[in-house]
Amino acid sequence: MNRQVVHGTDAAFHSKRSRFRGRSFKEAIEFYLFISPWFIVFIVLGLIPLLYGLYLSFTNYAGFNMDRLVFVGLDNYRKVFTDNDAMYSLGRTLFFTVIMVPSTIILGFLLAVLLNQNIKRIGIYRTLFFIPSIIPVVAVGTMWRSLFVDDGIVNKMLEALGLEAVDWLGYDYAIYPLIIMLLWGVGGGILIYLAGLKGVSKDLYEAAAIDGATTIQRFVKITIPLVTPVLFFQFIMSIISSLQIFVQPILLAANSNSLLSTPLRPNYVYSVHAFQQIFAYGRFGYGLALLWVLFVMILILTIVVFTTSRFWVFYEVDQEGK
Amino acid sequence: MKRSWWTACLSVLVISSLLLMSACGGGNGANSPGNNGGSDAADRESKDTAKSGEQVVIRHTMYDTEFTSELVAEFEKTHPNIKVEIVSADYNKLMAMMAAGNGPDIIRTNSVTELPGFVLKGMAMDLTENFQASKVFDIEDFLPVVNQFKYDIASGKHGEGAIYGFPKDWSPDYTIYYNKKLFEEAGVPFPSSTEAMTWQELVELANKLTVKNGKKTTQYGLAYYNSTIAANQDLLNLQLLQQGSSMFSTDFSQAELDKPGTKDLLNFWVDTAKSGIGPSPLQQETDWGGQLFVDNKAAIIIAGYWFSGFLKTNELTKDRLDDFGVAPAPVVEGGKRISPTGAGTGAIIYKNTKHPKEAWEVFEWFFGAEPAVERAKAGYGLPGTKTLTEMLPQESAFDKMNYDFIQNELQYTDGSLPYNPYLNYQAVNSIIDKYFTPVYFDKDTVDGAVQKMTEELNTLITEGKQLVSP
Amino acid sequence: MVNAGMKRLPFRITVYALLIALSVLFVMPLYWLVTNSLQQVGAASTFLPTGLHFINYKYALTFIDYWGYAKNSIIITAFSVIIPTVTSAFVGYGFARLRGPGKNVLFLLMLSTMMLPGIVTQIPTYVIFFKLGLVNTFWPWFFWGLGGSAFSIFLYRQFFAGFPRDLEEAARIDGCTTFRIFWNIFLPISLPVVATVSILAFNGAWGNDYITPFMFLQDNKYPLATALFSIGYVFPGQKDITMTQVQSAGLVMFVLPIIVVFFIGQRYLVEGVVASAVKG
Repeated sequence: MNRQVVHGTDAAFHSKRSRFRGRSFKEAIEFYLFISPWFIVFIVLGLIPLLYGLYLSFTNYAGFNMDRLVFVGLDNYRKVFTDNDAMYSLGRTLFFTVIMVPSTIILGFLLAVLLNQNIKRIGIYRTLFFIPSIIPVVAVGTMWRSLFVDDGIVNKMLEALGLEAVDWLGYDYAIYPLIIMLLWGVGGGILIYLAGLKGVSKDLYEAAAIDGATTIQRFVKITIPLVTPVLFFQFIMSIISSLQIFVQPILLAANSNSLLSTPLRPNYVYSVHAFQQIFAYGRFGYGLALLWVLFVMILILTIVVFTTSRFWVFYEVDQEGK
Repeated sequence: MKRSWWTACLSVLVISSLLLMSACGGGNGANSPGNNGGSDAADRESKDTAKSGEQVVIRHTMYDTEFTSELVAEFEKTHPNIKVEIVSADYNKLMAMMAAGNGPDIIRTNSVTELPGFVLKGMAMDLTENFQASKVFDIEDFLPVVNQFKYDIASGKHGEGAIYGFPKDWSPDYTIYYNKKLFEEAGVPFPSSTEAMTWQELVELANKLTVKNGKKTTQYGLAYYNSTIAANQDLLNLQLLQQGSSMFSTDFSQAELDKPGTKDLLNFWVDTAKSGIGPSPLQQETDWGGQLFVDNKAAIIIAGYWFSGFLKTNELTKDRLDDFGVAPAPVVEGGKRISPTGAGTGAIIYKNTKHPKEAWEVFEWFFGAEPAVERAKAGYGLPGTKTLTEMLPQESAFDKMNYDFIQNELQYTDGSLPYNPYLNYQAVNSIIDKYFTPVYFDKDTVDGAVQKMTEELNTLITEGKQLVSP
Repeated sequence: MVNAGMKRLPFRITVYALLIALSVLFVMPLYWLVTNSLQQVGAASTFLPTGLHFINYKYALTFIDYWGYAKNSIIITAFSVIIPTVTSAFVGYGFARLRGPGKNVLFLLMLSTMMLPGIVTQIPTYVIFFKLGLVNTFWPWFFWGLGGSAFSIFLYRQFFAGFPRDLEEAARIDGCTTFRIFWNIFLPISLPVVATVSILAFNGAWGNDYITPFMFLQDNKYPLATALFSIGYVFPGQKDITMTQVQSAGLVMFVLPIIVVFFIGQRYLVEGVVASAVKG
């Protein structure tokens, strides 16, 4: 009896364990199967160029000298941290990132809430809001300049209000047109927020309404938690894009006649510096090192956000990897 | 336990595959894909053509408005063994193509700013013998501008030595076009079409033609087609050439921006920008200088002979061509009168082309035969030979004015603007933009900017020299 | 919340006022393009139209091989929208609902492909593609499509992770395979997400990627985006001087399909699909 019980427990224990092992093993196989399309293409088409690009950042690569590359060790990376312009431009990039990340997330979300209203022909408004993301920034670079030049529309409006005209494209004010230009593309994320808001069940609202919750309460208690996965997505994406700001400062440069134009110092951001090193200076190796450093910074920030996400992002299934 | 075992396994797998791949990638780099892969492909390809006698594809990076599909068709009719393809490429793509051993056969080249660099980087094929043996080109007939395609590696002299290419068309780019109506309104006499003004005189003249409404300029005296009225590489190099000086030491191994003459010029441009006679970082515009000129918002523009072609085709100006006059390039006080080309765009043949013979056939035809005659007749730019100069349009009064003017100006066009062969043209632009622009806004001084520019230029020169030294 | 709020008049007025004011702001670039596309060729750029030169649209279509480039755009866009919208969902489901060793690392690896500026791998990729015979073909877009896009995978993952657990547990009890759960349950109720991903992929492929085709293709295979920016419309014989008005006309016709796709696609952003699936 005693023996049997022990045996039985043992068997149950065993079978439970092997069942558990079996299921999690099967799940792991399924997991790899599901991600295999991405993984295989990444390994076959993406990885070698990536490592090749990494290797080039340790050489004196200058575009034309592929057949006589010299390995320079960490020289290019040392330069990143000793080059005054690299550090200066990094500061500028961080400045714009600190402004852009929260404001794009909040503004984008508010706009999406606005566009989630039950209104006739809301589709037209949504489409109009999306237009800045449809039209390539480069195609309308002159529009921004013509808004902000001395006798541009912005200054004319200021004067109509009895205010002083401002040298928007000059050294002292150059950051404002840039921030406006960047913020104005905020509509690109609306669609994603909207899809997120659509996932919030009406039943929940109705239940809450019956419980006597106010609109604001319902928004804070129901809507926001349920769209946190989307907010997380936007958070990561806006970090990535803010740290890579590149085109807009160039379009607002004082001598803007090509994509190699140099923005004024306040708008001289890190990616511009890196791209200039590659395309204007022909220092491919150093430019790549700059971009790899940027990559590592974005990665670290992402990991930080990622680890904090368990405290504020609500998933239905546990997202901890096993 | 199990979990960490799995993770460990996977990590090992990932890391080892990474290492494998990296060995692969590294190997590729060290094995110089530019040479090995390229020549393999070349061998294969040339064997193929030898075997079957098939068409050879010649790829060029000229623009499709220059080497038009009509021209391609015309060429292919008489050369059934060659197929001409366009592949537009910026510097980056060009580098990628070369690295892969897939470089284009004919590379569009700005002779003034790019040729020496391309030669030093081993991109340009020496065409001296081809030109000498050619039945289409006659070396005796070449205008001095063709020298811009010559570079002597041994002496480092641009304009001498072996020849690597030929210009499609060109202009003395620093001549002056002016709007007579605006001169009359201001009650200012027209400038001479044969005697050059000094830069100082030009600025004074522009000042008289500038109209302001309060703080705002409503009409500029002076514009420049390629940039603003402020210090930039091209205008500085022109002035320095006229001074007999340069931004660099004679062997281009050092930046020498702190020579008194050079500093005077930098100060001259700061004052000019601040005076508000033209668009500058202090007075930014939406449109380029040419647009301001055709809109009667700029009285004078620094632009080459090609600008007459622009005025003739532009809807806003083509019916009032008599409103416009032309004058010689300004000269530095006490300097030598030189009115060089700022671009002299043409092409070179890629040194590692798999089909040098066919590439030359295309090159010779495009730069020396009918297309060259057609271009000269159209008058969008000047041809590379004396004979073709006769074909420039002279029918209308406007054409005649330009023709007479250019015949006189041609005698001053010989001279190589002192661009540094170890530096990318764009690099110097960026450095001046980056460090000198703050000076206009009183955020830096000329001396401060000169010091920063010198430092960065010297770093780049040292690197650039190392890269091209054998 | 929505309807309750909308019933109150001051609230309605505020909403409409905001919508209209913001629409004006956001429609500006299109207005700018249309206005300048109707100006006389050679005129200065402007906010205030001075003419209606519809001929510019004819120029835009005839000065370059517009339809030829449009055809290339269609091929590239088809590869970059249809295939990856499906494969990304597949991969996204894996990341959201399944577990396996190394998942977090792999997920970060996937995200990190978005963090590295494309230029780092551009030249190496060109070299490798050339060796594989992929340069000047549309194959890279097909293969990239097969792998899905990191952006779309991430987006799908975020949505799939938020779907109620009951959804798949019920199905598992019924004996559904994981693939069937994904294909028959998750995908159908994800219509808003699929629409979002498709629209964004279309916008990216048709409208915003001109550098990749520029790198890997030769001129006659360029899509419209690349053709408009790298070839463009220049005055005859004037290599660098763009006919801005014709260019604008070309751009207006070029962005029109994206606007249409957006307008149609956004209708699929409808509420309550998930909720009804759970109830059903």
